[in-house]
Amino acid sequence: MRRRDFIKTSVGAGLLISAYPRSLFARFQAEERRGTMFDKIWDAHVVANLGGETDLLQVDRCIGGSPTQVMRLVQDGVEFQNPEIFYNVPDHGVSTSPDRYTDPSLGRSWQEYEEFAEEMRELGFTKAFGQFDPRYGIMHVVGPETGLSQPGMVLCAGDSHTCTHGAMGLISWGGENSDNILRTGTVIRRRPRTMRVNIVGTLGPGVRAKDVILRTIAQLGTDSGTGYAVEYAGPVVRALSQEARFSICNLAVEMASPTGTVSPDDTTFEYLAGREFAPAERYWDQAVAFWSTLSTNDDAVFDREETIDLTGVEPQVTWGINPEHAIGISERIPDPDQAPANKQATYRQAIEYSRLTPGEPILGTPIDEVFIGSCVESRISDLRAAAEIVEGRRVASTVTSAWVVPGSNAVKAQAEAEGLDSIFKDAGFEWRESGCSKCYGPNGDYVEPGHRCISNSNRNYIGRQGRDTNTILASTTTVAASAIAGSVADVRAFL
Amino acid sequence: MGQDIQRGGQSFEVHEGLAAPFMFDNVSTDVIAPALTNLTSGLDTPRSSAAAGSGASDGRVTAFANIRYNADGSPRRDFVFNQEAYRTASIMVVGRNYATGSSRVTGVTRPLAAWGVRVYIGESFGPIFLTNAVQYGVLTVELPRETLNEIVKWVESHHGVPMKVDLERQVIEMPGRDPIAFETDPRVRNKLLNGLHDLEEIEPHLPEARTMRERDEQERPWVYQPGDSSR
Repeated sequence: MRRRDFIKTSVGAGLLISAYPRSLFARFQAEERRGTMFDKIWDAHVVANLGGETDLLQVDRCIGGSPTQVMRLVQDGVEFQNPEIFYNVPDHGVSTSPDRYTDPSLGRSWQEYEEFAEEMRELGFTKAFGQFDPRYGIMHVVGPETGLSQPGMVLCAGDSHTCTHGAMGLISWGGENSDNILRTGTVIRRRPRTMRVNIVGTLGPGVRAKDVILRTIAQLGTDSGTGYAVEYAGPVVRALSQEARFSICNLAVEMASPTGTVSPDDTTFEYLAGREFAPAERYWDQAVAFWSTLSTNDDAVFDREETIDLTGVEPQVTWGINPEHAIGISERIPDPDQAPANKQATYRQAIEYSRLTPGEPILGTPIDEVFIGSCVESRISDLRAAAEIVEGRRVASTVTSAWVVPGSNAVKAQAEAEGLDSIFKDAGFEWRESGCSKCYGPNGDYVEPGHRCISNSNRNYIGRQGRDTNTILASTTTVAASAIAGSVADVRAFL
Repeated sequence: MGQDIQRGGQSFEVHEGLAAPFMFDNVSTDVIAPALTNLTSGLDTPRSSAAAGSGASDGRVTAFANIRYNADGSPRRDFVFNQEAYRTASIMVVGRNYATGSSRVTGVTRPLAAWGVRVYIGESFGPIFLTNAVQYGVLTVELPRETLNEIVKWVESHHGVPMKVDLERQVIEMPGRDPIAFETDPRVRNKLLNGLHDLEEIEPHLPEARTMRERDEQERPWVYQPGDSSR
């Protein structure tokens, strides 16, 4: 079967099981295991137990972002294991200004990245993408988009939002210094417990994947995932597009779980089909047959189960200083005195920092800046949804800055081919180059001191987008609607 | 203080020092190691002057910057290390989910280790911080909130009196009260006591890793041939 002709009927019939080595099946499906996708993948990657709960694991993909790391190891005379499992996308330090290619004072030096990518390719690291590369962008957009992140893999990187890739049906986490992975192809990791978050009910009008995960974190708590690998499951997740699943897994780390996953299915395989680094034609059928065995079994046992019921859940916005501080758009800013005892101190700190008044509606809170971008929701479907909201409308005159930052060069090109850039520009948005941008700031893109920014990114901690800045997290469409209103808006009025 | 701290191979047995209470929950690495500070002028606190010169690039100057200084660079009185009693503290008593958020792999533990902060006692820690701390020979101790509150009470009534954190015996000793026992992951404990580098743990298993990889290259060739043009 040709990869790009992949259709739903090919999977699940069991006809293809013999198409890949039986030993591979055995490695990923030993009997004594508990049948979660996480356990299947983890167990198949254990090189050795290092005592207690800690294992040495084989790594299938490692993503680098630093322009100097590999070069430093080369200078130290390090021999690299499997350079083909490594890809490099320097996304954090770059400016997203349209002038970035010509003005070297913006962000880090483009020239340096280009030369570095060239040197890396000469060393056998063929997946080093400099900023002129059409595959360049935010690493968590680029990995899946190019087909480098695939089901069944163990994937590590430095950045904490590496959990995003788990939506492909793989296990991933951030915080790893890739030096040892480059040297040995392995990583030391303490095995987490497993948690399934079952998401049930239906998405109400204007409610997107971002709202679902904000609601989940608000309900379970910003430290609820400590020590767990989370699988997001249930009918709502099954029905989500692949791009929406990235938004869910992206915020796993905001509930303190470094690993968020979704069991792979036809949606995943269809997303991968035809992508540049997806399995070659001659391997495609056996890869799909193998991936189809990775999903969590019906009788799997998790260490913890939670259910999120979306009945009555509205579009979400945050009022405070961590992602758990999310409320429905028509709710009021909470009163710290009414908060649970163990949260009152943080609520008070949040109210003081956010300069909001308890008891007031969050709806209508004035905003100074608007940011659409980041590894949460900067993919083509997100930009299409935002464009639908702003088409034929104008950003409010009180908003001093409204940016749209595509997640990758490929997303940008696709959006421009569809004319989305014109829609944004006509509405008064600035259309930028790809990169991490205002999600965190040290690249020269930041929120002005004292400003309140409504942002479709993932962190609203004190100082995240700049000193003395306030961040309101929301979905891309709520952000787009708020840009038009000049204040926190109910996207349902714009549909 | 002010020594250069390398990643890996740092040992930890017993640490005696002053403790500083920092009992906030969900303190993000955005606060500990801010990616962006809008400081407008020079910094002058004991801890930043210790960091002057070579320390500037390792994050010691900017650690906690947005809650440590006012915009003009003057120290904020409400930040714990700016207070006389805690200026030289080397143990931090923290709340729930400390150092959650971004990785900042070299930005969070390292500058504070360079100041001399070698122990964090808290209710829980961000997942990345836990991995990171052991790399810099920094001990994290998890205790229930009630116990932490007792420790804070002791610290606040014993300014200038050092406490002793003993990893070998897994106890915290505070003059004038019963010692508090704690547990650590056996592997982490062994690693810290012996100052092992990750590579020293990995190297004995490299032959197994190679065998496994060779087999995997046969079983999952598509993982190793991304972008193979002969498809």
